[in-house]
Order: sequence, then C-alpha cells, then structure tokens
Amino acid sequence: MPAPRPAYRHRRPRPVRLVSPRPAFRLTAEGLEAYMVGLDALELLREHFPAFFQEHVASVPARPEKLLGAVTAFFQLVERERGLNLRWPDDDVGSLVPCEDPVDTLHSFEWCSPEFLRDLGFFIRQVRPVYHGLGVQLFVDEEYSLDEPLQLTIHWLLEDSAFDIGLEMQMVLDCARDLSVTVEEAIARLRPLPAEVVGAELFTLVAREIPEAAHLPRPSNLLFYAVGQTGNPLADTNEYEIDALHYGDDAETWHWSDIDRLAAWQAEARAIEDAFLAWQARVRNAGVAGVEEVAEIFHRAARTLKRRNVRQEQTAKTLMGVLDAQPQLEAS
Amino acid sequence: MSTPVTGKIALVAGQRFGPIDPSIDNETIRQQLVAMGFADVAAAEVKSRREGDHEVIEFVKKAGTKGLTQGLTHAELAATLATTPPADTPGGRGVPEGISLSPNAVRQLLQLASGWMTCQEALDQGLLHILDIAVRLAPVNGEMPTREGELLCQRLDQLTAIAGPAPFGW
Repeated sequence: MPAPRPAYRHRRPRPVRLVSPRPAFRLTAEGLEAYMVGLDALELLREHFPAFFQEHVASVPARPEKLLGAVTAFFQLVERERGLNLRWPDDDVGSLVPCEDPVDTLHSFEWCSPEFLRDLGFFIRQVRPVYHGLGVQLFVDEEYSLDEPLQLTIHWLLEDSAFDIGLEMQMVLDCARDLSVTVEEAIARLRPLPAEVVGAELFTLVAREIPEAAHLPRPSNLLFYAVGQTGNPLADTNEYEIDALHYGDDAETWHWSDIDRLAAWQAEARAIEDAFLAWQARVRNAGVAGVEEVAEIFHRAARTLKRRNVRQEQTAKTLMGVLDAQPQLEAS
Repeated sequence: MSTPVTGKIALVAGQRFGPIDPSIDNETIRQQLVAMGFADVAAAEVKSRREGDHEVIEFVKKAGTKGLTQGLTHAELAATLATTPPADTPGGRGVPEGISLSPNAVRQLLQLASGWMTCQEALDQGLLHILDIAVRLAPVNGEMPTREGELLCQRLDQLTAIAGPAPFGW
C-alpha cells in the first residue's frame, strides 16, 4: 500500500489581483528615488502654489501616478501662473502632456513607471527655462554655418572690433550656402567699422534708426543681442549651447526660488528675440538693399561718434592749452 | 426588492476604506488589509451589513487573540530593523555604519507604499527624509547593501506586489 501523500499544511496563497494587471511599483532604490521626486514636486507645489496645493493636492493619495500628476501640474502652473516657460522633458525621457486644467492634469495619469518618475528628478530639481539667444557661441563652435544676411553683415562690420566673434569672416561668407551671390558680394564690399568707435554708444545710435528696436526698454540690446552680450542670460545663450555647456546632465544653476527673476529675464529676452527676428526678416527680404541699409546706419553712427570724439578731443586740447597758459599769465 | 450593491466599504479599527469593487471577495480584502499593516485583521471576525448602496464589511478583532500574518508584521520588521546592524558590503554603495530607520519610520514608509498616505501627510511626516535613508539601504542592480535593507525591501516588495499601485481601485 503506497504511503499516503502528505497533505498541505497551509492553504496555497491565492493569486491576488485586485485592480490592475499592471506591474507593481516595486520599491527598489529606483522606486524609492521615484517617490522622492514626487515628494519634491509636492514640496514645490506647497511652497509656490499654496492655494492650489491645499485645495487640490493635499488630500490626494501620494501614489506614483498622482505624484507624476503633481510633477506635471507643477510645471504647468509655473508656466501659466508665473509666466516662466520651461524646457519640458524631451522624447528621450518621455513626454508629459498636461490637460487644459492643472487639476485635471493632477489626475490624468493612470500609471507611471518608477524609471520615468525617477528620471523626472533631473527636471524637478533644477529650473530649465527656455532660452532665447541667437546661439552666437554655437555658430563660432560649429563654424561657418550662418546664412542670415543681417547677422553676416553685423559680424562683418564688427570684425575689427572688440565684438569680433573670432572667425575669418570671408570664410564664413564663402561657406554660407543659402545666400544669393549678389548679397554675398554686397557684404564682401562693406568696410568694417573702425574699432575705436564700436561700443555701447554706437549701438545706441544704431538702434535709434531700427524701427524694430523702438519698443524695447533698452533699444541697444538689439545690437548686443546679435553678439550675445546683452547681459541677460536667457538672451545671450540658446538651449543647444546650454545643453552642450552642461553635457545634458549637469545641473544648470537656477533654483525654483529664481522663478520670478527668470520670468522677467525671459520676457525681456523674448521681446529682444522677436524684435531681432523681425529686423532679420526685413533685411533678408530686402536683399542687397537691406544689407546696404544696415551698413549705412552703422557707418553713419560711426561717423557721428568720430566727429563727436574729435570735438571732444579739440575741447580737451583747448582746455589743456588754457590751463597751460595760466602760470605764464600769472607770471607776467 | 433591494437595489444591487455598488461597492463595499471595509471598516477596520474605525477607519473606512473604499468603495471597493463589490466583486472582490472578503478574503481578498482581508489579505489586502493585512498587507497594509492591519495585522489584527488576519484573525478578525467579519461582520457584514448594508448601508445604502454599499455593503459594509467590518473586521472585528477577536478578544484575546493576536493578529497572525504570513511573513513579517510591521512590528516584527521594525524590531528587526532596529536591532540589525548594517552589514558591510564590499563594492556596495558604502552605507554609513549605523544608518537605519526607526520603527516609526518603517511604518510610515509602509503606509506610503500601500497608497493610503495623502500628499499632505507625506510632507508633514517627513517622508522625504525617510526615503533618503531608505534609498541608501535599497538594492541597486540587484545588490543588497545591507541585511537591513534586504529585509526592508523584501517587505515593501511583498506589500506592493500584493497591493499594486492602486489598491481597492481608488
């Protein structure tokens, strides 16, 4: 007679699936870090949007999908309520698409992977504002890939000055692919400005004759923008330069406490960019005449400054002469 | 003729959970609650009553019994964590000696992982700090830095594997 099979002492645990066939949010280091990112977003919401936090977030369960909603809603509120446009996660990380209403955004995710939420830490632990620079440094680094008549004209005219970008402009011109021969020849005929007159005063005089600069609080910024030296960090750099500068993973230096300062800079940078792009389009459409007009404005301003400098020099000399004569007068 | 039940409400120690999908049986709900840390529910008596469209499932602790659960209870885990010194792991992330989570911190972490902590509570109870410690104990690439971390993660994984990201269909 065969030995009786031992009976199970314990009931086999039955498979439990209460709601979802989705994989569980495993609490490995990655999962814990993901929670931390979500909690960071909650802290930021509470600090910067206290009314929204109290009304819509405080009593929501702190689950991964809600934390992802909190991250997204925070980005959305920063843009909508504080006027600072952000560089959102790109496709390499995964896109976040907010709803029209931030409250709906908070509840719009059904699930998220710990990897995704953790990777959003890069975006929540630093501010990644949208930059509006022309990318002058990128142009220099990549060399000879500029086809805009206005920018080529400005760099050509400033080649001998302290605002020279450090490239051989004839080579730049030769390599411009989308430039008509006539425009290229027109730029090549231009005389660079004398170095001693190029500076803030010249830019101020030039800007007075550019209609697109008229509404800018500081019109000369239109010219400083062309050489990446407005002093506004969001106007002097573009995002490709920033990513290259930080190799895509180093922190930028902005903190969320800088939101309002960044928003003000960004508004100014956007206004300068819009004005410059409008001027650039006008010059492009005007062809040779556009280039020559720009050059004439610069040279006219330079002549004005030269005359003024000469007068100032003469005045100084005259004064010096008078002063020199004083002891003789007294002695006689 | 009574209307059909649209949901179940689990009532434990004065706390109400739900509404829960009425198709989920009471034993499954019991397991869920045990996993969430209500150890006494394992041996509790179930009383059921109707409240409007909902069926209220009350888990009443039996007098004189202690909760029995499979695996570690919160108290056991917390006690273990409190007394287990961190082990050195060659090539690990260098968890500082003596780093550990208090029993209360473990309980809060479990509550967060089970999905029943609100955002306000998570911030007010300092979960960021607790997570910061826990993350140093948790495994990276399958490597467990400490025995303490191993115990913690076993328990948390067990819990989340049962509960999933949205227990009770919330």
